[in-house]
This record gives sequence, structure tokens and C-alpha cells, in this order.
Amino acid sequence: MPTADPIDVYDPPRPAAPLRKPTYVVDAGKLLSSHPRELWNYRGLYTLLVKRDFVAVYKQTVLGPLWFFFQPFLASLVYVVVFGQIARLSTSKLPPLVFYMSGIIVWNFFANCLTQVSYTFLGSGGLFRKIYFPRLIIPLSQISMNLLNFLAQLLVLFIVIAVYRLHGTRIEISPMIFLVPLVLLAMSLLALGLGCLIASATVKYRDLNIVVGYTLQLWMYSSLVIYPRESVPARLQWLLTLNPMASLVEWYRASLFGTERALLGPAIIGVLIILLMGILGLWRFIKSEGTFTDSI
Amino acid sequence: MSVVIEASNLSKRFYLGERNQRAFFEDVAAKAVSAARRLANPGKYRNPNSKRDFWALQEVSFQISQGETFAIIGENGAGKSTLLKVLSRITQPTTGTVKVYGRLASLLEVGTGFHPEFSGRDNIYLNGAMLGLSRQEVRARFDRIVDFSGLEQFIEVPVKNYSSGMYVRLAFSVAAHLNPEIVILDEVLAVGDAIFQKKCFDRIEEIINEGHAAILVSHAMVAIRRMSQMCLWLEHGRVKMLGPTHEVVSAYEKQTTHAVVANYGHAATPDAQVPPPEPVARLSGWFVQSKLASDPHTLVSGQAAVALQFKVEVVRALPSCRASISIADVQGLTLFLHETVMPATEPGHVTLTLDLPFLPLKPGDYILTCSLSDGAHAIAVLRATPELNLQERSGERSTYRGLLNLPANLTVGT
Repeated sequence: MPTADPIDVYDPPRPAAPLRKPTYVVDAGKLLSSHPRELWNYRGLYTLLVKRDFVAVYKQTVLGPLWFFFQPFLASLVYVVVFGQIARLSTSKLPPLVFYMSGIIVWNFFANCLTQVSYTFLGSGGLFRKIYFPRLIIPLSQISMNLLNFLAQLLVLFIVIAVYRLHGTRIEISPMIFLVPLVLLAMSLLALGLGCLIASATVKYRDLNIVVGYTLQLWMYSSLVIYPRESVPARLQWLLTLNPMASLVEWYRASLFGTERALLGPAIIGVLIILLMGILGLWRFIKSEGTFTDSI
Repeated sequence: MSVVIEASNLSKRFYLGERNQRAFFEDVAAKAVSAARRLANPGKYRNPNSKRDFWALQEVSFQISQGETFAIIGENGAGKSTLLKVLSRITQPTTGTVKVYGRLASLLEVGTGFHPEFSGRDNIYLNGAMLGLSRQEVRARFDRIVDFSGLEQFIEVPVKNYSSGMYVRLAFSVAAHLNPEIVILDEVLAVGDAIFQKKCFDRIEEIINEGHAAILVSHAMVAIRRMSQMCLWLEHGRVKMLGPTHEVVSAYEKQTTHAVVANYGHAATPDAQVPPPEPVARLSGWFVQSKLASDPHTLVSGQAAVALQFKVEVVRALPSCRASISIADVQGLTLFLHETVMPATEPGHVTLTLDLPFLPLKPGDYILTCSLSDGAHAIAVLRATPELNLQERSGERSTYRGLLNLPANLTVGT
């Protein structure tokens, strides 16, 4: 045995005290884990995973963070040419670059969250088969990591806005900006709920993930990312109402710039859909996490 | 003694077969049929057992008390791994309950959460967190973990630059310092070089001696007999026998020996062979050298030269004596012994090497023993730990049966 060092806080080996209450119970009738208390006990792991994934993004590429910052900017430039110059879509009083870029970064946030959450069981299956921890930690940490990325990209957007101001184009930042976090929260919940739903289904049907990629593309074009509500004909407005992301993107841009008037009705319907998705997704996820190792 | 694990009536059903289009439509059809029947006959209808169902565990119940080392034995596919997965919450049982009192950790299922881009330091924290430790708890153990792994110089280096040996050493070191109340040891460790392996074994014995409960799963009956008090024998997912280790292992060996080969001679119990330790000489390590060796203690069966090398530390000066190396099966039956004269030796290190043109044995675990004797009495009997593990060559279709795997050729003429 190594000699005890006075500053060494290592707890000495001790036989466990007789415990009255089980540390955990595995019961065929009950669901495994993911109780809120246990999630809280594993918060240290959550923090480390967020940190790990966030840092990993910056370590992997040659250009490092630069590429990451420029990607939305470059994508916006393409949209400016294609949708602004050729298709001549309206951008509701905002310079096209700012309009597209603000939309792209928030859409990327949502799309990345959804893709990663729906990949939970396939991507972390190896880990899940070896070590137990509340599985929900993985999607939660991924959403948080994307939130950090989003904030970094938002900073780039503000730099672009500052450059516009220097050249005399005034872009007002709305006083409603405090609503943005709420919008992000709603998007996160939607990505979590829907992602968990897909993740549970991928346990049985693996190729579902490919579908997600295509669907997200189509979904973006119907979610007011590259055009405002006013460009949509009245007879198709109901479609926007049924799409929670359309309302959320609209509310996000309205709270940032105040150039659009976001509607309350579709937003309420959107929130209801999101809550339903959230409950459904988490329920399926918790049901699958106990048995998914059996079929992958 | 208080109970740390209480398992009652555990069963686990697996679904066999592929998930493809046909299975998908069959699923849907089966669901529709059962829903229809349920509607027609509410309350009475239950889902029938499908043909693709496979019961990996059936009605398994047992208890493990504090400070006890509990062994689980059985053939491959008897349900040992499934049982461990249920105990450690990786998968949910189909019926039954398990109550676990205390933190449970496996000593081998580690290193899986390592991230290649991160340093050894970051990975220790990450791995610790996955295994359920708080940041403070990892910090308190950090120096010991690093010290044990022997990777001080590399601790700031990303683990992607580690050799596989370094990687496993770090992983084991984290796991070995978790201080869980219940520890799972799945199969005999094959980690790193001989010296590190020795360290691992010492650490495992230390953990057990610290009064923690341990669950030991192994095919090496020698290790089971040596380390455990209670033993559970699983056969086709059911409890075949549960009781004190010596009784269960004897019954198990009897059955497997009968099943595999006729019982040759008298199999002495391995423990009776070893006299009380004498501080004349110590075995500081052993390893196998061959192009068939996959690690220092594992060989793949085949016909290539094999050298078994023993590093012996001579503690007291020895007169000229006889030195031998023997190979015995796990029941303790000596299969081969080779002897030579060792000249008088001063305290220090000597290496004994047994060169064989090939090892004509069937796959399995073998006990290697290095003995020194003066002709009449044993001076030192040094048993090699871990046992030599001879593995089946993958893809090879064995055309022989029995204890020996001799180079042979059977021709049919008219």
C-alpha cells in the first residue's frame, strides 16, 4: 500500500456501510433510468461532454474555427445570388445577406440538433453497450453544444451588421431581443422530442437516418428561412401554421430585428405541437433505452 | 453480512433474426393480428412467443453478500454476459428484479468513452464521469491513477498518439481506482506487458481484500477456485447449480471433462500442488515468444516455434539444483515437464526459457509452473499467473479431438 500523504484526499479503502436503500433497482416492469434526479447526478458528465464536443469541432479541421465561422457566411452569399438576384425573393426590408445569414445560423442550429439527437443510439451504441449512464445525457449535451456554436455564429452575424452600419446602412436591433432565448428553447425542445422519436425508431430501422437528411432540406425551404411570410400566398398560409419551425424562425427574426410582425396564433399552435412532440419523443426514448442493445 | 445484490426470477428474451423489409412487414402484420385478437377477446389474449425468440436467461435468482467474491461459470452462450448486462443496467430484463446496493463497476468495459483528440488527463476526467464519479472524486484519485498507469510523461498528450498498450493501461488504471462497492471482473485480464499485468492482478486482489464484493466471470477454473467463495453455474440461461465454489466447480469440471475427453489419470486439485511460499525465489514475470503470440500470455494455436520465458528473481543464493518447467491443464494434470540442471546461482535475476518446436495442445487455458528442486525436495514452485491462454485459430475447422493437436494428415486409400 502506498504511504498516506497528508495532502492526499484519496478516500481510504473502506468496506461499504450496510445500505438500507438500494442504489438502484432493475425491474422488468419499470423503465430504466433517465429519472430527473439521476440526470442531475450525472451533470458532471454532461458538462464534460459539451466541452469535449465543442472543443472537438475546433480541433478537427485544418482551418479550425475559421471555417466554422465562414460557413454560414459563404452559404448566405450563395443565397444572396440565387434567391436574391435570380429568384428575387423578398427579404422584408433587411439587407439580403443579413436576412439569409440570420436564418441560416438558426436553421443550422435546429438541423444539427435534430440530426445528432436522432443519431444517439446508432452513434453512441458502442458506449451504451459498455457503460451505464442516463442515456438522455447524450442528446442533452449535443443540444447544448450546438447552442454554443450558434452563439458563436450569432457573434459573426453581429460583426456583419456592424460592417453594414459603418457603411451607412442602419439595421435596428429590436428591443424584443430578450425573446430569442425563448425561441431557441422551443427549437431545442422540438429537436429533442422529434430527435428522440427518430432515435428510438432507428433501433429497429437503421436507414431512417438517411431520410432525416433529405427531409431537413425540404423542411428548411418551407420554414421562412429564405423568404418572409408576406411572400407566401394566402391560400398556403395554413401550411405555415402547421409548421412550428416557420413560426419559430419568424419569431426569432422578429425579435432580433423587428422588421417583421410575427403572429401569435400560429406560435401558440406551434408550441402545442412542440410540447406534444417532446412528451412523445421522451416517452419513446425512455422506453427504448432499456432494450435497444438487444437489437443493434 | 448484508446483501449487496439481490436478483430474483430474472429472465431475458432476445429477438433473433434480421431486420429487413420482410421482417418489417411481418412485424406490422403480427401487430395487426394481435390487436384484432385483443379486440375480439379482450383481457384474455397474450402475445405468443415468436419463433425468433431466444431466452438468454430464465428464472435466475441469487444473492451476493458484502465482501464476497461471487463467480459465474458456464459454457459460451450460457447467459453469463447477458446476466452481467442486466446487473449493470445496460439492458432491461424481460421479467424479474435486481436490487443493487452500492456502486457497481466493471473493470474491463472501460476506455470505450475515450476521445482520441483529448489528452490523457482530460480522458481520465471524462471516463471517471462516465463511470459515475464527480469531478472532486476524480481529482482525489487523479495522482494515483496516473501513477498506476506509469504514463506521467504522456498525460498531456492526446490519446490518439498513444500505443494500444498505453491506451489500455490508462483505461484500466481509471477503472481500478473507482472504489466501487461491487466490482465485475469479466474474463482474465490481458492488459499490457507482463509487469503491468502483474500489477493489475495485485490491484484486483487488493480490491477484493478491501472488502468489496466482486463478481468474477471466467473460464479459468483455477482463478475461480482461488478467488471466489460462491459460484453460480449457468446452463442454457438457467441456474444449473448455486453454492460454495469448490462444490460447484467440481461438478462443472466433472461434467465438462466427461463431455470433452475421458478422464486421464488422477487430476490433483491445483491448490494441493503448491507448497507454502518460500522466499527462495520469486517469479517476476513470464511471457511467451512466438509469431503466434497475440499478447504476452496468449497464443493462437498453430505449428510454429514457441518459447516460454520465465523471469525468476533469486532471493537467496542457491546451490546447483534441478529446474523444470511444466505445462498442466486447468484441472492440474501435468501434460509435459522438462527438466534441466541449473548451476549454483547468486541472488539476482535468471531467465529460464523452454523452447518448443510447436505446442501440440488443444485450445484452452494451461497452468505453467516453474519448479526448482534439489532432487528430493522442492525448493520453489512458481506458478505463472495468468495462465497461458491458447486460442483457436479463427476460421480453422478442427479435424481432431482430444487433448493433443499433433500435426497429422489422414489419407484415404483404396
